[in-house]
Amino acid sequence: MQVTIKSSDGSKHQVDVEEADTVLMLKTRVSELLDNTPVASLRLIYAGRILKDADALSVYKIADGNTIHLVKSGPKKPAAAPAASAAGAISDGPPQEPTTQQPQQQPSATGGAGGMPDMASLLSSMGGMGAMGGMGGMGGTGGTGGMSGMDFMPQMTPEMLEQMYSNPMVQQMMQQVSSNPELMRSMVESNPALQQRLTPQMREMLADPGFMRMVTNPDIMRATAQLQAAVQRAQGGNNGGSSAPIGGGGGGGIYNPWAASAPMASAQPDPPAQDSAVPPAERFATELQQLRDMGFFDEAQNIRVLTRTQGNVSAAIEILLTSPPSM
Amino acid sequence: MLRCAAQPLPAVARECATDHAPRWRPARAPGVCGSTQFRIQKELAEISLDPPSNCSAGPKGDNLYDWVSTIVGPSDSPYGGGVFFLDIHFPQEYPFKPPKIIFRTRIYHCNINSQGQICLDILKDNWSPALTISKVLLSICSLLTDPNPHDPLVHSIANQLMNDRKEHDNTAKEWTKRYACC
Repeated sequence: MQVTIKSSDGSKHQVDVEEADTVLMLKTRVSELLDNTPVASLRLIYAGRILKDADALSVYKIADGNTIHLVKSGPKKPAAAPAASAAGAISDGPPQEPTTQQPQQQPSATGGAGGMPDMASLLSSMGGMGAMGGMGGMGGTGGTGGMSGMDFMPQMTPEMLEQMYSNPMVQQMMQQVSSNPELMRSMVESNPALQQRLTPQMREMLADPGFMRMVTNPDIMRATAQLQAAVQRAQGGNNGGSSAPIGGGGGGGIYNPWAASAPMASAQPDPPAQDSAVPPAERFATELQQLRDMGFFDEAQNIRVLTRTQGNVSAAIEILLTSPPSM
Repeated sequence: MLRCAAQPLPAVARECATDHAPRWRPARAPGVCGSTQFRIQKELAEISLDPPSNCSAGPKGDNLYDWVSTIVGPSDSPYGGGVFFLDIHFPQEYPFKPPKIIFRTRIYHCNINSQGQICLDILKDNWSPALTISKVLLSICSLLTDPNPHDPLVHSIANQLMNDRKEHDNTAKEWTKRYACC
């Protein structure tokens, strides 16, 4: 069959393909047509989806005469970004420099290119899952007990989580995982290290669709990460004693996935006492930086809103964007 | 102030709904309308064969009423190089009611808020059954190139756009790089 490749600059190319061909094969063809543009920098889009290298064209129901969009991009690959961060490169707020990220990103880019069924991105998202399981636990226990999942990825900061979740590829992956519990299970089972650490409770948790929905909902995870950061901050300032009411607010269930999100609601009307000890400008230094990076320059307003939202950046942005207090 | 956000959907002729159906027409379950399906199928065939440049769309799964779409940021805008994902939902009354379209990818734009809702007249009171999803996506593309700060959804961004275009474009580029670049 014949498909049309429509480039973002408007040029069109006709390419002969078979339904069973993989996307990578099509990309190789296209790169030949375009003076050997590196395959890694080509992105093909059809029917609202970015085509994945390892998939066959039939997966996307591409038929004769259909048009596929082509977008050229830098060699930067998003799926690898969380993996790179997970490898220990702590990143703060602003986007990472492509140059420093290159070496770590390459493996996953070529992993896909080598015909492997996107294992790299699967694993990296799995890593994210491990950390998130940990996050849920951390929120519930007030940051002390910690679930074994936590040390799977010790340096997951809220910023990294934020970045990871805003990544469309990760979002897509999350959607896939959440719509298919089998995939999740097989991912866990294929990783012996992870399997050892899974307690029966955690297995139960993974099988629970409610939990999976929570873990794959970026908003909830962001909120959880923010909460965790707040709890840690509180512990740092007050030797841990003050975090008890926060953790307790969730019913104290260590493995209760909702424990992490419930305090968010309960904390709102009843702000913990230790918050007044440190001036908000200091307490929310990282959050303020984040807001500045996003283009909210009114410091006083940012502080006001962050105080209102207990340092929850997403909620603060929500307020800033929907009902700017100054207007 | 937030004219766009506060405005309720206008009452559109609902030819599919049973309560307005002429007497001679057999009663149908509310909202079930064969012509809607037919129309969406027609649009799907059209957009698969000859999509507008920069835009693509297709059903999310087996449900014909829920689509996903991508828009590639126009190169003459600060969103250039970004790929923005959108969700499209066709109401049962389509094409007599506009489709619901929201951005799934975050974007720094005065007519698109953090929930991805779009302030665009043709998606609200200026909807016409003669419009197709291709045309709507093209309109969204041109909204990216030419934001409308006079009817904004996000006031702070609109103010910045009018007072300091350079800074606005920088932030928009930064967000595109951060959220929409793969």
